[in-house]
Amino acid sequence: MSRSILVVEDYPDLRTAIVDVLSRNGCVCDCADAEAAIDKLRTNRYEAILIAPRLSISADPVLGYLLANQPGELAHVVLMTNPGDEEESPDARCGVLEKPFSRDELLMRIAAAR
Amino acid sequence: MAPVGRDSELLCSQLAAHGLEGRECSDMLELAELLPQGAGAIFATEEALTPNGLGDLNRALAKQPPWSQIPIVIFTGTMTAGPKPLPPEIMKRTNVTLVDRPVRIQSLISAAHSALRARERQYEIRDLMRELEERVQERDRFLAVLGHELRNPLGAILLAAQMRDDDGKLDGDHADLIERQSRHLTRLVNDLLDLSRVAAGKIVLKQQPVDLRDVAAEALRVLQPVGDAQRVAIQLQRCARPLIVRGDPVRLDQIVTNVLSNAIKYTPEEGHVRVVLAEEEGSAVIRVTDDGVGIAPERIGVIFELFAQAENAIGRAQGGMGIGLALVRNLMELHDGTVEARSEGIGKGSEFLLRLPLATIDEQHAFQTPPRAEAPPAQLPPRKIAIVEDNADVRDLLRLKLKRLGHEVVIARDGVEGVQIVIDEKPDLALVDLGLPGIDGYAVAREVREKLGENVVLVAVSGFGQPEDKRRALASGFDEHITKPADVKDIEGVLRRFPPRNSSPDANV
Repeated sequence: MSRSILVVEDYPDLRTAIVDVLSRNGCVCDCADAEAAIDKLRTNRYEAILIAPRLSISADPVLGYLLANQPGELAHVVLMTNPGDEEESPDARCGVLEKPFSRDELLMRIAAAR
Repeated sequence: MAPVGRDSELLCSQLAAHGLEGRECSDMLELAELLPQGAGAIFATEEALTPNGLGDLNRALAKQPPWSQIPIVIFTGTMTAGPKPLPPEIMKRTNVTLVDRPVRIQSLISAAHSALRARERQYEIRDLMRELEERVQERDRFLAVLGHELRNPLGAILLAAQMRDDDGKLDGDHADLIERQSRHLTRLVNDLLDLSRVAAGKIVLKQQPVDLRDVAAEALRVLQPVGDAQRVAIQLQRCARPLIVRGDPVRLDQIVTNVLSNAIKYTPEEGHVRVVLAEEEGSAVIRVTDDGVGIAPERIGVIFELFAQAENAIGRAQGGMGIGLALVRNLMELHDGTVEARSEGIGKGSEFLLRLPLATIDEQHAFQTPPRAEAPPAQLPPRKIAIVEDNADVRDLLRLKLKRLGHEVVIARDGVEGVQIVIDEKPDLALVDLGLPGIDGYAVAREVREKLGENVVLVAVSGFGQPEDKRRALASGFDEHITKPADVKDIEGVLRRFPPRNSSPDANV
């Protein structure tokens, strides 16, 4: 079974555009809001997990879940952040994509997270 | 005060007799400890200003905030040599008055009052500085959230634009997405400018009788694509009779669009938004309800504040910075209306209630039997249009759109070329960007008017849409001013208002 990329982004048009770019480049995507994403992470393994933190990095429920339960998966996480956010990534292994990002930046980060 | 002997006791009782409160200190060290609690003025005898005393005073003054220059009244006259001048570092931080002893009560009280008046001015400065500091912090927060707010739409546009196929073509879905997000950004920028204009009292309503059913239908038409993209069902329940209020149609439209777009934004996929129009107790009411994320009880009171949604506990990624709702409240107040939010709590949806006074019976009557306007012409006859614009993307897009509508288009890339092409080609209408390289749009208009007179309709196109900008454009010879991004609809509106000048010289200019 081919593994896929989990996309956690609440802004619908941005999520659509991300999924379309990834799909055209041969990736299989799975989308979820934070709660559903945590459910999916309990049972599924993803080759990359793209997360737009809610409110702040430290308060993000998906990151919180991974840190507490599956820290090994943090190496596959790519955080979509806003430049100017004061907070640091919770783990040096997480990739960071500053919004707004281009197709090439997205594909590069995903490749590195796989 | 830091005096010697019974001076301070006497002084305190005199001050108290005149309604002023004094605190005794046995020496400068005690005064230095009390000073941070706040004092209007210091009274001291020169005997207290020993080298140690001065050291203590100086240390205490150094800890005072920058706005503070506390008045000190020094009682002199017992030392034969007179007081030594105070060290410069103390002079810098205080405001010294010398009073000779024996002191007359009158002089004492007058010195006290004058010291306190000086201190009061300092307190005013302190308050102003605090206010300023809060505003700067507020502005910084605002800018941070604004950046946040712009990034998602920009990110979506950027990625969608990169979805072109091998032939460089973009499919309809992605073109729609780009259009939708660009319109969203345009609304955001407009709201932002309007909000600062409301704050400055610069928005003047152009009031007329308006049927709120039309306003709601228009808002729905604009936002339907947004709802579709987010899979939120929007339902409009119009009332049977016209719902006429007196207001500025553009602003009313902005109000309803903002409330509706807010409801869509905070309603998850597969959710529902309802817009219900009704007449209630002599008011026109628009009720926008959703089954979305709801509002926590403690936040209901603040969601119309400018920065409220920035710190939204719900934390939807599409955030929203509350520009929309803050503007809604301001615009409703200008219309003598109210806006109210209700929610049973987080996860339980929300209701926004807009209430406006109904128009008078006469106005309602006048509105319901308007002289029937003739049907708008279905298709405009082709015209010759010149585009003077230095931005290649803007120019090419506009040319393409106008050509598609059957118009003949000529283009110029800067002001000099613009003047030339308008004089040579004699178009019916020229769209002139104001910020051109070389000679600017104003100069183009002046030169063209000089050479061609009124034989061409000149339209200024600029990023600045304030009334002052429009006035300046008209003063330079333009017939119209439209704000960027210029829409084909705007241009067609101008074409309808200005029939070809050679065929109808009496056109209403």
